[in-house]
Amino acid sequence: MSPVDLSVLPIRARSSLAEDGIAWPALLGGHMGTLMAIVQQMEDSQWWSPAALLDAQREQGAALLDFAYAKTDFFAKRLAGGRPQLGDDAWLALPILTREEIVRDFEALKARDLPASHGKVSIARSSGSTGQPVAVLKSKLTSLFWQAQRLRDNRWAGRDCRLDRAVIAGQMGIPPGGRRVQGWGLGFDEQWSCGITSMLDLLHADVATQVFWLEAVRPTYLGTYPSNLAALLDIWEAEGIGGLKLDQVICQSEMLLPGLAERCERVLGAKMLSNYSTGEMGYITIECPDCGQQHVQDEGVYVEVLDDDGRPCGVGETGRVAVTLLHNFAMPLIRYEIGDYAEVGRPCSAGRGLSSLGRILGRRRNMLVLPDGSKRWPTFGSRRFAKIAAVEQFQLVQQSVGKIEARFRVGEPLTAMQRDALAVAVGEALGYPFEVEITEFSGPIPRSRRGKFEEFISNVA
Amino acid sequence: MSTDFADRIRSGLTADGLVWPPVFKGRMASLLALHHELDQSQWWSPAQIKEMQGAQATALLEHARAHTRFYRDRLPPTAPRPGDDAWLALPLVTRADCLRDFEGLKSDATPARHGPTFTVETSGSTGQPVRVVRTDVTGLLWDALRRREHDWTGRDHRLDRAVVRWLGEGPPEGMQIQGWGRGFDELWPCGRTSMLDIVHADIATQIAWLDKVKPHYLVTYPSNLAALLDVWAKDGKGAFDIRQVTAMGETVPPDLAARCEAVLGARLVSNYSSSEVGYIAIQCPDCGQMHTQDETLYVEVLDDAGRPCPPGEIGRVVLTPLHNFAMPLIRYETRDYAEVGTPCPAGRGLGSLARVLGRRRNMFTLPNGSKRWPTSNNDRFNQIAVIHQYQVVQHAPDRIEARFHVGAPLTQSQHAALIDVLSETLGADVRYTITALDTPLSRNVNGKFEEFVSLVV
Repeated sequence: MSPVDLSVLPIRARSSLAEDGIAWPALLGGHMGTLMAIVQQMEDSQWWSPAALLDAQREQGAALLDFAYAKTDFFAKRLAGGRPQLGDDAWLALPILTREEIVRDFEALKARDLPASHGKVSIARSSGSTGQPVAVLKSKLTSLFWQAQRLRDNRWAGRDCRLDRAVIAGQMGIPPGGRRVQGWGLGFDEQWSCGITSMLDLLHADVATQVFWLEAVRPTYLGTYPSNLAALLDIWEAEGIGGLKLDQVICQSEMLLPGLAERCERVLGAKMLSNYSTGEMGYITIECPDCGQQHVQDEGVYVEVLDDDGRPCGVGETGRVAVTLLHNFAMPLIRYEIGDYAEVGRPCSAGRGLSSLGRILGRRRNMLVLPDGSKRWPTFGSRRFAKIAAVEQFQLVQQSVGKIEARFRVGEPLTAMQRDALAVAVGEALGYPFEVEITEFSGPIPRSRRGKFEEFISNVA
Repeated sequence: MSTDFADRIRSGLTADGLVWPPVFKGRMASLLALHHELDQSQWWSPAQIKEMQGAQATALLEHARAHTRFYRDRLPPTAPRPGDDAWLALPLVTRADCLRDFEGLKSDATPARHGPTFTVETSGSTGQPVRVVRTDVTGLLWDALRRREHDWTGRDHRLDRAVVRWLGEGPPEGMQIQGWGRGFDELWPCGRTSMLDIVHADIATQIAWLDKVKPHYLVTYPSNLAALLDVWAKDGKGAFDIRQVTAMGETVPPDLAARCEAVLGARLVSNYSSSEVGYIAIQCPDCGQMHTQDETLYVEVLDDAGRPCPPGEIGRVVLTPLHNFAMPLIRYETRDYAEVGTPCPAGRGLGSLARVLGRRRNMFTLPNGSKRWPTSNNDRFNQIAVIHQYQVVQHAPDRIEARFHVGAPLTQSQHAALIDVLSETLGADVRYTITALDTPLSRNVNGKFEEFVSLVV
């Protein structure tokens, strides 16, 4: 064949029949045909009305519940009184599935006689940053949906998979070199000639090492945690970004920090995007390219945001997130409370019918409990502490209802006056005169086992 | 179930609890994946599309040279890229070639994964029908383009459609099937398709039949639609709600869309296709031009010297279907003429035809040797007399006959006035004769009707 001019070549799929002379348009058979057929349907369904999406979810939900009732011991009991329709009163009366139940009743949740078309079963684990890690079984079919959602994420974000990306997160490649693989992973590499993915382990690479590494790998896209991005931006803001040309930073896994997207844009000239996913559930939401809210991936999950009484929250209200994974028959997860809190979003201004979350507020353990029993998610900037002393990093831990441990990473030991001033500032930031105990760190404040970092943790909530 | 129920595709694995989103394997998965591809590629730049056509054409030419007797010596060892000088030097494949050397054009080794082959025949407006062998891959592409046409026209497949055309051996009373055919019925609960063979049905019969089947969509030839509109304009349309008419098979007269809208309240859309290659062009929902289906074929519009015509110029349509490895047609001369369009203002990168003018035999040669495409004079003729139908036949450059199906015999003054209109539009230095008939003018054997026919070679 004569060479193709790469300069004008569009991003196009590789044909399954390329060897038989069908170069374009790509004809896709087997797994790729099935995957792209789902992608094509999701291109349509994102624009359906919310009512139409709910109808479809209910039909799929009914199939899931029928199967769960017939093929798992756990749901044979739980659904013995009937199999309600997603969202109706009987559904809302169905007990929430807890993390503890998944750990305790793992065997009873496992399905018998999984239809062959659902594919092989594998185990997925959540990070369990501070709490209990949880393992669930997932069929290969759920991975197909995950791949379809990954492709949607990429399409919505407008990323070009021929370019290189870097990921700095927990359990990745060891510095100084990190790990490099050709390609972007499942669902991408079968279709396109993808760029390189470079990976670096956050737990083994301080921020200076990361900056050095990024200058060497020169990615177009960076995926990392918000807290780590904030630390990188601190350096880049002070020292300049060198030859780095990042186009997008994709934030995952932690609460987003206020003002981070603006800083990212200002310092890096890069757009910051986020999505909401967990190891055991896959994608829950993806940031809408038009309205900027997080759109629930309604084709794969049924998401509820529930108030303290278990009633669905209205737009603008915050509640617990419960997720029903619609296609995982290997281990049905019905109304699984994943431990996060989120605010219900508005309808998409661009007309996508997918439901929205306004903000993901984080986990219950990030919620401050005030002595009067009220709860809220504290937000605070680091600047108020930096005005008092050379604070490089901080973390507030609510040890009891009345007491906060304030951890500060400082360049040099704090004076007594600074300690007093910081204690007052912590009380002001949290809106209550807590008893504040200050702990100084000369190095980084430790992250979780997966490299995540939380600025506020409550041991009371 | 809510009334807001979406137009959902049926899953291929409902039995295994996979209801939504639909999960497919095999051919349907490939078809939907192809829809996805085409949804993207329509927005590629013309340069990107041309690049990929080039890659596909190279694969086709290499196969044709290696596996068909016809192309073995005709094609150079290095396959030329579509549009470059070596490509333009490749001889055209004519209808006569297809009739004479059918066996030589057939591949001796169609790749197995291109699927089973099947043979199609042209309707053969004039002369012997041409046979073309095609593969399941071309069938898959056809199904995908049918869906694109469906998307572009905004039709709702849950509604009913009626087709009035030449069917070959359709029963006189018409027939009905549940569904819209392959590529649709596997995915959705579709409406009914009713079909009537135009050869067996005069206009009154068609109207009675349409009143009975009450379609939402009608597919027919422009000349037949014009005749239906004449009756509906006079007698009022039936108790049906035709929302859209698809014109096929013939040149669409310039005033037909407006008449269709005025009389039926229905939008007229058109496409350009042929049995040999399938879809050639589909009307753009945004710019209204006919976009060539560049993902499946390379379309050339050539002037008399064989050079590509620029936008606004009219030339011969030459096609290379890019995926038919069972019987490669490389630079197949269709005998149709089209005017090259302009880039799509909505941003589709596909090529454009401003209009398809019909066959060479619909083009008149004037006494001074110049050529022109006559257009409809229906309105002007009807201001003079009650004319149901007309056909203008050029017997020699200076001799033209106009045939009229009239409501009443023509008076001498009407006769003179009709000749005035003809000489105004086709030139004064021609001898005109008029034939008035009280019966409908006959169609071609394939049911199509041509308003202008030139017998000048």
